[in-house]
Amino acid sequence: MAGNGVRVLVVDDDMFSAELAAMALEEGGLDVVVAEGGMDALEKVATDSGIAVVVSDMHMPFINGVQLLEALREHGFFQPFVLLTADDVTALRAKHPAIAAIVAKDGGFQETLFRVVADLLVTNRTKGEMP
Amino acid sequence: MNLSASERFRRLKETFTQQLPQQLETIRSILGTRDEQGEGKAEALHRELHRLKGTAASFGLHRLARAADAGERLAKSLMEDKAISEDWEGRIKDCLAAVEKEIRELAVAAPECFSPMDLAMTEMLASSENQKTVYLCEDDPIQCSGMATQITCFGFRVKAFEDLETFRQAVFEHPPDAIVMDMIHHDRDTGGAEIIRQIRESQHSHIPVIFISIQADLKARLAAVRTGSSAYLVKPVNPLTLCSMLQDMTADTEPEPYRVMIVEDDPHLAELYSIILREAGMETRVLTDPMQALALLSEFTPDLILMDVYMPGCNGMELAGAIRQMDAYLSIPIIFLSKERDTNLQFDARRMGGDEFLIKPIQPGHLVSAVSVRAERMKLIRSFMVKDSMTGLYNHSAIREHLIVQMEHARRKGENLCFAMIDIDHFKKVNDTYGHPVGDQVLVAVSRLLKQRLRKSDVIGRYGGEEFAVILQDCSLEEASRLLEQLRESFAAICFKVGELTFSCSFSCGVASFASHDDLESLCMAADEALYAAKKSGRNRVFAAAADRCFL
Repeated sequence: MAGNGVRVLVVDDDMFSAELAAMALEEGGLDVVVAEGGMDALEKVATDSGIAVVVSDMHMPFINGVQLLEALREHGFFQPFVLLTADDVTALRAKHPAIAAIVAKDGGFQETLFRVVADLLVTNRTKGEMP
Repeated sequence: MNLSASERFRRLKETFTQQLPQQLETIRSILGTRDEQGEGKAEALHRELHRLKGTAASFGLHRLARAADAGERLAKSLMEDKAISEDWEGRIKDCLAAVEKEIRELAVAAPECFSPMDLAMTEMLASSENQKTVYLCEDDPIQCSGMATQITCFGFRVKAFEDLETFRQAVFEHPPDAIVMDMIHHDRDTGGAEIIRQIRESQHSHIPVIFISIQADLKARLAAVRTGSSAYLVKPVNPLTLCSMLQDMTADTEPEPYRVMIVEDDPHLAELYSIILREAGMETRVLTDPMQALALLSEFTPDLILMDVYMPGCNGMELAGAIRQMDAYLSIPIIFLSKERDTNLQFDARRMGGDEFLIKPIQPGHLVSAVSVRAERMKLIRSFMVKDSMTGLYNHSAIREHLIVQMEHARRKGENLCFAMIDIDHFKKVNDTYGHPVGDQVLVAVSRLLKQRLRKSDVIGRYGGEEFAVILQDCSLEEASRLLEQLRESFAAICFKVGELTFSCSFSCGVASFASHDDLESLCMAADEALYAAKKSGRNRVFAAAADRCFL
């Protein structure tokens, strides 16, 4: 999958979390770009048309994950969005049913994250190919 | 350098744990700021604790995550609720103390990862995928951790237990691939055997066990045998012996079956023996004409010969004498079969090199046990003769013998084979700088790397000193070069640790192809010359021997 110009944007203010998520995705052969926060993410999306999925932490200073999603949609970015959180996942899912996937930060989240992102990429691509 | 996923994860986790004290300091300083900043303080506190919780959970540090979570909730109550309870200050301090305790424990746990070979092994293991788990049960903490480190060095995942009860529970919850058990536990001389018996009586009868003990007496050994385990090592335990036992016991591949050659002129009887032995998992070849014995010997290479004493043309005793004249079969066990109870004849048979004399009709059980005991001994003797004691690889003469056989095989089948010689660069410097034990670890690392990465059909040997030899079957020179090049890269990427110091090694390699060098001497010489050329041109590289240079 690498090298076909498809990139995943990982947004997290915590360097370790960002690196962990990036690692999981890179291990599966995906290209990853990291943004340190919401503003940085908006800028990267605006300048890089290859970003096919955004993976964002929920809890960040200034702009949280949900606010980032809203801002992205306002700017006309409609690629899948995955929310990462250390909080209770079920409550968030109930509150934001429109978000493609919400993944809990726990010991096994790397595997889950890769699977979720890969799934989204595949469905997105097949959708795009349909007439 | 391309790091494996597990290694990247490990390094990241290490960095994370190292900066934890600083992160805690930040949280404490936020807590220490004056109240006039009010809301900002609560929010900053919440953010920091939340972040700590999330990252700790992501790394699988659940206790730290829970401690941080408690703090996060307190911070949240401060954010939402202006009138906080009086003991809030005390409670958050308790929380941070709990966080600190977890961080300290992580710092204590960390040095375990720094055994000399740990780093090297984690990288190598990434390629093998199926790492085996060994439970080590030893009540002396110092011996326990020493042994655990050693076993880890040889590529196992080790969990150490000092307490029998915790150990028992762990076995039931997550059965390991093998157990290393101290025979003496606290005051009980055979306490280790007792607990293993209990485990065996329940469901986990299949887990192999190695007993270790300071006692070499029969009573303790018997206790081990009664649990169904024949592996018993007397302390101080040689780590290599222990680990090669573990490797054999946990190997996914079935052990090679015993190979039995049956020489019997009565085809029905021969067939009967053959069926009985095959039933017991052995491989058999039947010969009804004793004159064909020598041809079958070299083709089948049996571990044992079972033969009738009386046969037309040539009797069993003469045949045994003829077989024993050949060097390679000097020690092969021979079992005679006879209808007679003539003790003189039995005596003669033994004099001619028979190891056992069985009287027909033979009970199937007797036949199987007589054969397996002797075949096992033969296999063991053969392995002592052909294996290098430190690396467990074939020794110099064994690898040359293999090469002769493989070349013959390749000629018959019309296949190619390649012969490679590998020499560790500047090995003397490693020995001089870090000492021989570290040098030995490097040798073991090379042998493990070769064993793990090459195919099962490839033959690997230690040619001497720091020199290794590999026979790659059914393989073109290009394929062989590519494979060896990958091995060279992997080996150069291994990082050896000695205390605080780290170093890496490289090897040079010369490889030659049977297609261009079709006799033993020219093939060996071509590989050797290519190795020399690789060394000359700067080391740490693989050179392929040019075709048709010698003997034309």
